[in-house]
Amino acid sequence: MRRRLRHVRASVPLPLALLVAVGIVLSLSWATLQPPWNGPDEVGHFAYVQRTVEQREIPWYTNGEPAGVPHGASAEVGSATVQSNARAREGNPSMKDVNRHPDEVFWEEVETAIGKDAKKKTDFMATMLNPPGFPLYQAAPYAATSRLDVFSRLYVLRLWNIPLIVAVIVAAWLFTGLIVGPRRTLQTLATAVVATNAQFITTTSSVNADALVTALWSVAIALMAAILLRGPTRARTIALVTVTVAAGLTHGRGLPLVLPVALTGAIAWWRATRPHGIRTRVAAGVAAAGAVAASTLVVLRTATGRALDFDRAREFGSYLWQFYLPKLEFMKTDLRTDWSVRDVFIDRFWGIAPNLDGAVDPWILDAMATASRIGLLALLVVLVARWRTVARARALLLVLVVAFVTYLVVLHVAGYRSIIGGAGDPVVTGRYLIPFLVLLGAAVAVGVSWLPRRVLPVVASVLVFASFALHLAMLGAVMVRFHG
Amino acid sequence: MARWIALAAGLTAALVVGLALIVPFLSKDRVLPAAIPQPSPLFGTAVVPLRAGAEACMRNAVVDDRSEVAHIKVGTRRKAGQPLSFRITAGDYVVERRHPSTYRDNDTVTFTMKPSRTPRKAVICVGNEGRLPVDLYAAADRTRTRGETRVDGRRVFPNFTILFTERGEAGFGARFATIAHRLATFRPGGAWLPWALAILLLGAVPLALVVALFRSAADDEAAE
Repeated sequence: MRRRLRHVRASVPLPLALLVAVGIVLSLSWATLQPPWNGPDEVGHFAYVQRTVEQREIPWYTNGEPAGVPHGASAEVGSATVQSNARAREGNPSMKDVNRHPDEVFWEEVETAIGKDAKKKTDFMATMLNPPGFPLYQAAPYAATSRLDVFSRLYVLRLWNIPLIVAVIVAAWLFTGLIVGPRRTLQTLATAVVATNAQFITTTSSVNADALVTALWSVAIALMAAILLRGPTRARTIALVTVTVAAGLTHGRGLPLVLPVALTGAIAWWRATRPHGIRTRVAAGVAAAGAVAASTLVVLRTATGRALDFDRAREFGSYLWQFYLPKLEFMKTDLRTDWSVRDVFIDRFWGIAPNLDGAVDPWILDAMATASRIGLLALLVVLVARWRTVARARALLLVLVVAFVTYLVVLHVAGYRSIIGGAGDPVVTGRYLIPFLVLLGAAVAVGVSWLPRRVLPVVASVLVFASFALHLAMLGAVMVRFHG
Repeated sequence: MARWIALAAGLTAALVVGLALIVPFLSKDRVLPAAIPQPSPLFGTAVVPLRAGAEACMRNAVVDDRSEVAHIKVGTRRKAGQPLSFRITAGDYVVERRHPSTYRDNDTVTFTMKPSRTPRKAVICVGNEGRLPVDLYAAADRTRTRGETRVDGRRVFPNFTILFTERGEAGFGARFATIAHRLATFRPGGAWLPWALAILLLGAVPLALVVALFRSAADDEAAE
């Protein structure tokens, strides 16, 4: 055993080990800095875990929000949110995180008064519309610490996301290694961009299913790249299928993974069998066209309620267009045009904390918008200039594009339904992009891969510390929100 | 050669981040909040009416060792301000202040005090010593805290808003000891944990990034 551990330690590159340590420290810092119950929907996700363990049932409401059943967290969680001022603080800039020891004493008195059974009755909460993957992942640490007070349990569940954060960081390292080959500086740069991303760490350092969704997507992307670039093995195939099933059982945002995984499987099968004959090729072409047509119909059906409602489809298309591009003259509808690609891909992704508790200075967001454009341009130039290399990996490129587009379409469908349904919530937001952070890291690495060997370390250092500085800026903004 | 370039670039970048971002942020002076028994509401303003001679008291409040200025907001129904009394009772820590009728309708009225040496449970009272009624701004929505407000002994639903700040300005760096205690509240561990994390975050993380860049450049050199 000891020899095996020594072998593992020797086979883990030092830069990766250091970046994993960085991710763990950042996660611990956020888990401590963020006040209890402050994470996005944290009360709901905790309640899902609590009901799963305490009431020994999986409260997955597959038919949507039930009518006529009581809603709400347990009496224990409800009291805890009041006593710790979390309810007063939620969305309220005039309330800070200024609790001291006497506040805990007040809570202990209430805890004694409500009794031990106060945690044994959790009613319906909206998070229970999600599949049970995340509460099942969190069930073991909850059960192991169920005798501790509720705040300790919450903290333990936050920390239990650290293995997921490590999985994302390792996936970024492996994926970049597959893309750029044995160039450690590029691998380190890509992985550091991931490990120091503030949106990623803040989101995954609270009790939220996004942590598991992100880890599963990241691992799946690395596995798909391994299968397409190195070839399928039994272990890779089993792992990818397992991850895909787990993603589907974790969140609706895990479901789109099915499409790129199926495409990966089809490509691997095609390569393995090398089908001959015009009939086989025509059949494959028809199957591909059928898959695209079926996907489009499913999207339209889900978005508009009917597969062939032309007016609704046009409205959905118009909404989608105006999210990314300026409105065209013939477009009649304006659906949340105040919420655009800049809000999601720049502001909410780079500079605004998940629960809106803290935002970096606007000039930083403007700078990130410019930097993102430059980065995208650099990436395109590199992809064009190295088209021979890119052509060799075209299958992977296709799968990644399908993965990203499918994921975004699912988000937009949810957003469109929410908007026309009257809720008005555009749904699509920055933290929902973190499952593709490994792609961002690799894209940054590829974007600078053409630099001369002596210049690369300088640029890599600047980019890594710019990412860290951005992380600190978000951390500072949250400090000001809760302590300033 | 590349590894030394990486080391120099990494150290320079770490230094720039430290000097341009961290030091100014930690040393910037701000009016820092102390205890907040009841913040301003989020969805609608409520009031706790105080007729002449009446007193509103909030139980289940906490004051801490940085609570030097109390802020309340008072409406006078478009009339002149009325003299107010202010009292904190927290065991042997007692504060009694008065505010003259020099304020206007909807002004924030402040009371300065010497803070308690340690955080304590407290009862905070505001009395109307004038001849006309006044209204204490209050919260009756989701933001209402565990505080319990009584007017002349009769329980009322809204809590009057009251927050404490420090008297002067201070930076986060200078106040980190207090902030560490706040970060240790309702979390396991103790005040040592925020201290340890701050040291790791501002010292070990940049160092780890520099070493990672150095080592990866060295690996690339060796591979050539």
